[in-house]
Amino acid sequence: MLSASYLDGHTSHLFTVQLSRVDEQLLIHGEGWERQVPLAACALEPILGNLPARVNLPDGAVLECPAAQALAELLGQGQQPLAQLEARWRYSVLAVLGIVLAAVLLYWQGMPLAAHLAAKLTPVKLESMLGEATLASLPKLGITLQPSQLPPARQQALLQRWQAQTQASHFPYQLHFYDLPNVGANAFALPGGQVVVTDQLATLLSDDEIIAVLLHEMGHVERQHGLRNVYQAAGLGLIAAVVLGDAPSAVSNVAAMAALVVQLGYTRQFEREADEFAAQRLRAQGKSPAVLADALEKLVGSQPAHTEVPELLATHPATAERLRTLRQP
Amino acid sequence: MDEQMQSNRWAIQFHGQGGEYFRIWIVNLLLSVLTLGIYSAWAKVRRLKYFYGNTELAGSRFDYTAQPVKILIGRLIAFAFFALYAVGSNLHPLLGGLFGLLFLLVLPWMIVRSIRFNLRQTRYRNVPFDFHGTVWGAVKNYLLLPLLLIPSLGLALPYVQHQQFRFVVDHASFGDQRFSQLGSAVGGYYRAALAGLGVMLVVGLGFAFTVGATIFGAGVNLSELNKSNPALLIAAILPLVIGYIVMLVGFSVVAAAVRLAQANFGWRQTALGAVSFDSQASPWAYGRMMAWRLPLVVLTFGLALPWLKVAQSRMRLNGMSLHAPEGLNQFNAVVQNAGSAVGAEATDLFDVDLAI
Repeated sequence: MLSASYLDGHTSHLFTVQLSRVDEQLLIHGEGWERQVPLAACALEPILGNLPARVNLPDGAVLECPAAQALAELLGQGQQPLAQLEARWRYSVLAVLGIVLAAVLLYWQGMPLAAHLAAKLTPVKLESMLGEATLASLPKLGITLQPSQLPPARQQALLQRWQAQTQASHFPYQLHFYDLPNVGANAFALPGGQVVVTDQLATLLSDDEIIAVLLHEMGHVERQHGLRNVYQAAGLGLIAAVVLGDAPSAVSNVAAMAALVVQLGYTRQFEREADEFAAQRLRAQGKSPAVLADALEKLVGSQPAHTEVPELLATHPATAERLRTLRQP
Repeated sequence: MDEQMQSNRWAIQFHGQGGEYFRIWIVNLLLSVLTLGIYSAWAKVRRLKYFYGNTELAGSRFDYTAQPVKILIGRLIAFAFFALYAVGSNLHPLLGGLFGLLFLLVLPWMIVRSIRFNLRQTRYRNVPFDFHGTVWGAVKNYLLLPLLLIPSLGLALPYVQHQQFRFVVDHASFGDQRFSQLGSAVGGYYRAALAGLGVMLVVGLGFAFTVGATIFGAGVNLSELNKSNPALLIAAILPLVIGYIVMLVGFSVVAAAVRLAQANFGWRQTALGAVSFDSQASPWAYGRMMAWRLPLVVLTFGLALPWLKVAQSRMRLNGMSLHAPEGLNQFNAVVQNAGSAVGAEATDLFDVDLAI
């Protein structure tokens, strides 16, 4: 005989009952009443920690029994894989290791792969709309796009060489020259083929060097780095939301800082990829990737008061490492 | 009679154990990660079943009966909405604004739905709770009332929180009986908030002092920092980062203690038919517990979170008791006719798990 609470589902009245088994029937003994339910109709809820067992009867009544294991045996419903996983510390240790492994794999392989796939599936039209919208929103971020002071002849010459490079691509490339004193000597690419060169960069570098830098930017566009970045950030956010679902706000804040560092890691990978793309193109055209290295060196030299931050925190991989790779014969 | 009727007073007891919950939580987490978040709906049900099931009142446990699939559908809808919002706002600022407006319009409806869903899935002695709040009520309490914060420079916050608590309690029911508020707890809400504000000021001043000491005391010249080597840079910034984290943790601890004190005041004014509630959990003890457990959670990369969650529930719930002159046997489940039961199923589709 097993003691249990019988809750009929109509009132909050608690009936203390005794349970026993007769053949394939569960016998419920109340005070002055009795009820039989076929064992097959007794739905035992999965065992959870030390909680009393809960059995749902067909008419909505519930049995609550503190002796969970004994009731499971009485009903002949043993074998609960989830409860067994949750019962032992050694499985917890394995689970922690599994989570760390899954997180590392997700970070190195899964997330980049998923973002890559999502970027490939995104229509080029949408991607270039995204790039145009970003370009249009730059003034709101405090970057005023002032018209270029470069001689039109030089702009034209660069534009022609650039078109020769990009005409085979399915991205609708657009090259913009702007005078951006706040940004300094720089070039950047937006999703879908919007590429911006600052006057400051054009005055610093030769035409050959500018083309090398533009090929690096083309690498960002062709490999869809901007879009992949958006997807990866969204994916990280989603996973953080799932994992930190019930974490206090202080923990979430600290995690957000960590996510920023993690995000930087992806950016460094993208710079390497863009370098590789440019080097490949240059070699194919019979030129040396060292041109890009020269351009990089001039760019770095032009930055005011420059700090070598440790590699983990740097967006661009340590420049020395990039230069070495590009100058390899 | 099957209950200890002599005193008519029952204390709530929480039986959860940190280690036991850790083992459940870590399996939940592993399966959620492996299934890319899909399992998280099942994990939520298992987590709530653990906490509700470990809450004992007069010899019976609470239960959470939601179907994980419904929670999953709700989460997918929410995810789709935010994905559309993210893409839309990147394409055109107007689209982003439009989505924001749409969200504001849908928000009160979602608040009512999610409170109702979660209460309907909560059972005690196999009798469900329910919620009767209207969308207009949610508009008033969650959209319009918070506007008071602007002209009052935030001073209306305890009042707004109190009204939101009342909105939930006043429209909740257990079986065929409604919850009600005996009197206003708004004074208690203000006292708790003011005490918390005082403690937060002390914590904030502590941080300001750390910043000052780092910059002036150590004689660090910020413009010099750029040129120095990374090790020095980190050494100079580290006290600031640690000070900042201590401040964040401090604020979270104080905010949690204030919420507990406010909940105490709220529950003491709450009644359910002839049943009245009492809540005497100590905000100081709660704050002390949080003050050492929360940093532990940060330091262990979240692994200590289950112990924190269990300790929170234990302190909150063990402080609660009920006075029931007529006992707890007389609540009747509301008989739903077939038609409305089907309707309830269909409208329960949207469980958006808002953290309210």
